[in-house]
Amino acid sequence: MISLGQLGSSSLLLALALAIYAVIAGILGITRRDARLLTSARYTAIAVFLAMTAALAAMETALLLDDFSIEYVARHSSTVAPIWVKVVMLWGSLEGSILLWAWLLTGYTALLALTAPNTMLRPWALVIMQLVQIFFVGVSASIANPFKFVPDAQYIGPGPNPLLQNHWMMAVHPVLMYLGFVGLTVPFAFAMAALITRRPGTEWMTQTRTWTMTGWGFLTAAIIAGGWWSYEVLGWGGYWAWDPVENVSFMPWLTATAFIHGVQVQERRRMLKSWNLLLIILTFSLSILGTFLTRSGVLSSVHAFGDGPVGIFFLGFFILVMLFSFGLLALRWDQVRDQAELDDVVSREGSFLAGNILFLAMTFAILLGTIFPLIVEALTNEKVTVGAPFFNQMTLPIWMLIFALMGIGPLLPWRKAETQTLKNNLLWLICGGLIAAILAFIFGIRKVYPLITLGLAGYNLVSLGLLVTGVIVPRARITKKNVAVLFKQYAFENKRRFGSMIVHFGVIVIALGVVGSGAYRVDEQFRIDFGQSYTFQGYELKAIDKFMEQTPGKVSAGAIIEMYKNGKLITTKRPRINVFTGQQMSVPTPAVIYLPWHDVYLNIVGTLSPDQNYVSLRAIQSPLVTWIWLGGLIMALGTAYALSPNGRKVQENREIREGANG
Amino acid sequence: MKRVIPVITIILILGGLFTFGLFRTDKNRDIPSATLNKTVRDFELPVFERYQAEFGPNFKLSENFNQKPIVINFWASWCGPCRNEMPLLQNMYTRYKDQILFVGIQESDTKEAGNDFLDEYSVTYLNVMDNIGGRSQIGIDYALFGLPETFFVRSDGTLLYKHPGEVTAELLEQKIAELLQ
Repeated sequence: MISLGQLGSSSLLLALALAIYAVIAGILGITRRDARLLTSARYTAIAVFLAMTAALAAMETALLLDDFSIEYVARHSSTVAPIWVKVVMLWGSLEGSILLWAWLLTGYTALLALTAPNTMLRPWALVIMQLVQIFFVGVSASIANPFKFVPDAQYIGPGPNPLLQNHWMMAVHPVLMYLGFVGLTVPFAFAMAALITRRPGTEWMTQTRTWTMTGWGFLTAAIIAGGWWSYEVLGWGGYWAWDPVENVSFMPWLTATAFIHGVQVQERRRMLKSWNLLLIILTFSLSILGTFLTRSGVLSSVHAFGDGPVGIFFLGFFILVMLFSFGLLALRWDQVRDQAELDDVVSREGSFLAGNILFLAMTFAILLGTIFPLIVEALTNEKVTVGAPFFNQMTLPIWMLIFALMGIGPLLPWRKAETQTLKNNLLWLICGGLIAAILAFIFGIRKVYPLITLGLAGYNLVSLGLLVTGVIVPRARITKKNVAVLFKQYAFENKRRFGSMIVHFGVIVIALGVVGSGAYRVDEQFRIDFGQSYTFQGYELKAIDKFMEQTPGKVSAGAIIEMYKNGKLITTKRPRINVFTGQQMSVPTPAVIYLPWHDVYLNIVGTLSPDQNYVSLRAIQSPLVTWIWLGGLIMALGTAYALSPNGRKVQENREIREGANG
Repeated sequence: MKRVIPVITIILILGGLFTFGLFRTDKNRDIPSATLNKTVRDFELPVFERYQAEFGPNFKLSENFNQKPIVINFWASWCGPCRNEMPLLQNMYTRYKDQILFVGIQESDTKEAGNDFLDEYSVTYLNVMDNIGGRSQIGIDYALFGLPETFFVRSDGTLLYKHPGEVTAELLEQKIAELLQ
């Protein structure tokens, strides 16, 4: 009888062989202009996906059945773990995470093979996707094979990493991340195809718009989800520490954001051709760089995957990708140079370009800060760290400028702004900003960055208002229709534009959350005897009693805390310390009281022994921190709205149908 | 070709840097804390009664700078490793009390439990309570990783080394020797 390990390993090898065949068939099909070979390459993509699905299913089955003859299962799972933990342990460690990545990549490639329109670009784009696929499937089938066999099947490992099984968010965040990275491989593949076939027009980006937006949306959601996980689990009350692992997820997001804006300029004005190619190459390269850095132990990080043998392979792949894509870009440079010139800096395209330069500058600053310790060590053999203050000082001013551009950019017309309209709009924006800043000042905000941010938030809200009224008011004047009806119609007919406004609104919400929680956080540590109370920031925290809970795979000890405001009970919370079976480490698990204006975050300090009649707590009050998660949700929803089926077409079809019926 | 060369150069430099990172021999990623060699945070905390005759009711750290090097140890009665290392610290104190000032700081704990703890291990060096108004603020200021944690402070008040977790005799000997150099 064939074991799950054998099934998985052979599925991986089959997938690899098929992927190699697909590339050969694809290239031969292109050079010999043989449609049969191209079709064969296309359908092989589906076969690769099916083989990878078999491997993935084998791994999930092994995890669920506790098949400890597979080393990965023995080492990272345990019989007592809850079912959801077993399922997500697929991506809980290095080998499994690469398997998941490879599986998603083959899934995207198969979907692309099935749905991409038959254009000149498709064969090459598929070849590029399949080359990337060979790398990931190859690593998974060889050096990072998750199906490695252990002879001593009795061995029971330490179980899943406690920090990962401590929160359901771990089921979500990595998958979102990979969906984002893999999604952004598609525009990269089309960009390469465009360069190879010497068709560097807008074709490659219009064909991949949905893929780009989807990838970007997932990446956005992944980063926010990662922050939330950190906040809920790590017990320090923060969500972003400028840790290398965080930075490497953030850099591709920045370049992808720049790319999304650059695409619009190219579509409308046929400009920024080379710029957009550069951005998508950077996005893909940075995502591979991130994978390398988090999986090789090159940079010290609190939550890297640790030393793996895969480091050198990812590094080789990263260098190969860079040499190939930048080399190709350099070779085709004469064709990708812009014909159109910037008519005026004060125009939509001018502001988008400025924004993009800022995004790139920020990427560079973060990259420099992230690899700076390595540079210093290479040159002087000394170990240094680059802390959060560097990143904050470098990026905050850039954020402010981007935030300012975000308000004015969409209001500017393409080509050249009329001075009068511009003056009027600016006047409104500045008024909005000043009013917000003055209100903030009156309410006691005295720090510089929060004041600027609040001012810019007001300015941006006015900008969104002007964008909507600029369309609605003239229409209302002409058609005499109800404003609400017109608004609905506008939102429905211009999904892409309206979706972008929703995303920008999400950005404003996040900015407020970041500034509130960053600048006005209160952090206290204290002790409460059971039965007694402690007043923290106007809340009465009453320690009722301790409790002990034993569930399969986990023992929790914690305290029951009641929270009162003005004598009224708001909520009862149970901050606790979890100890997972097989793990030495105890995991303090904070209780978070989510409130619209500020969270109260309670974490147990030290231990809770059975004879202890008090609890030591660390309490953190973070103003507006919930707004960050909310803003992330708004951004994701806005992206989904922009991608939803085109409203105007639906409307037109309906009108045609109604016309026919009438 | 002219355009390709700078591109390749940049990529190779990056590649070289990461290859170095991958293959460097000492991969122990023990990065020195940013607090090293900086003056440690000052504090003024109430002294356990038994030491008040010698040190007064409150102990202010900075008043003891420029006299002797200082070893600061954070502990709590409920912490197992603190119990393990306490005899060792007391032993070191009896050997080095003329050259080094030992300060124990009780974290997130009660006064009574602290007194029992000090009785149990017959601790004769200075101990203070980080428990002003029920809050343990100094532990936060010192960014404790956990308990116990030991700080080796030069006589000028700058931090030589800090050690999270239980200390060993070798470590104490070595760091005290460095302090006395």
